[in-house]
Amino acid sequence: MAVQSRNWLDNAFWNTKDKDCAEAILVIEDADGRKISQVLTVRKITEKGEENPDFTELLDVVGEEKIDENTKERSDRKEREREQKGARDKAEAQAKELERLFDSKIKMLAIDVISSTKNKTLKSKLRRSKNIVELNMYAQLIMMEENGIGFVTYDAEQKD
Amino acid sequence: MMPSKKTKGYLIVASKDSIYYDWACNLLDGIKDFYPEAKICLVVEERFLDHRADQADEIIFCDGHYRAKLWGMANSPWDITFYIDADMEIIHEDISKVFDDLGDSDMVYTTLQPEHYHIFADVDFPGGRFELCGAVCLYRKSELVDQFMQDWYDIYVDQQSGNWWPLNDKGEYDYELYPRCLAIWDQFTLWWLVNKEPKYASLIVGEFANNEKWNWWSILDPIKFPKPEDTVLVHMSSAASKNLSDVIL
Repeated sequence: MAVQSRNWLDNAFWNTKDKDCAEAILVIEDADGRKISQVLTVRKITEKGEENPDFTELLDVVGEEKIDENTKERSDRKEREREQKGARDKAEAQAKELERLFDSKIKMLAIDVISSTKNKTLKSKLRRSKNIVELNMYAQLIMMEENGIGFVTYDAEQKD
Repeated sequence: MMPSKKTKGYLIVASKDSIYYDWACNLLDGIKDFYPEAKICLVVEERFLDHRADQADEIIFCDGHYRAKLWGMANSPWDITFYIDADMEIIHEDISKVFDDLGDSDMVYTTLQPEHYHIFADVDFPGGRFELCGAVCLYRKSELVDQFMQDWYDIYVDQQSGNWWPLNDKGEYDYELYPRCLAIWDQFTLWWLVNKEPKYASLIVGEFANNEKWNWWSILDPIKFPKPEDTVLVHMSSAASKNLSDVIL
């Protein structure tokens, strides 16, 4: 392919803090006007230990200042994305936890011993549990009470 | 002669699958936890009934249709009814105050909020946009409202089975304005009756002033949309969606 022109896009950014390696897009146009874009990792020094002419050209065309600016903008954007993803994941986990808690409550309240208890206080506390640990605890208390093991809690409605 | 006092009560429906009955019993007990004097009617398939329904003040048997809720709403024993989807959970004592929100309306619903559109499968369609949500409904008994509820059920059953659909100018089912995918939603039937059915034009259909108080979706992002302190009802929507395949045509 006979290369007609080479153009470095101005969105290149540094891959290293030492600024000896950049990520850049090179658009090559051939004699027929066809354009080919390549994403390149451009190192300052080649494997042979020589100056890389692509690197020199990239700095000449795009400029170190612009690459610095792109690098900072990209780093800020990635950080924002990380934060947003973290918040999203947390929100999703909270929503799933709420559903899991509800499912567990329903399963526990369908257990005969629990659904038949006359201890409305414990049953109500079970229903209002804010997490699985609390839920399990109240379910256990009801089971213990109903099976006559452990103790009987105070329940005003029972005494009535 | 003193005017008779209007009865006010809650309505919960459980049909088709026993999980709805489990949810309904949880809701029933939850209402009584926060509001022991509450009058509650449970509309339920007889085969599900057990001791957990003992707290219900009225029990009405229904058939096993997925949307027996609509039939149940048409047959509420109360003068003023607050219908609640079974897959909801009561978390606030203000459940006792819901009847204050009826005002002069015949029916009051929560609405689909634009910022929550992403959690709904269908909102916009060429012929309109869903605005009301049928998860809860506060309504006043009258001949017209009873007829509305009955039509909601009857038309939904026909809609779902392919025997009813809005017609175009040629007298054919209008799938351009109202795509076929809407057929699974009783919300579409509700939209049709409220917006297109002339006989119900005189009904005053209101909206709850505070949507999230009466229908806070559990799948909402709690960071973007934190649950308000006075939220009364949490809608466990993903639990319900597990059974959506039951109604796909």
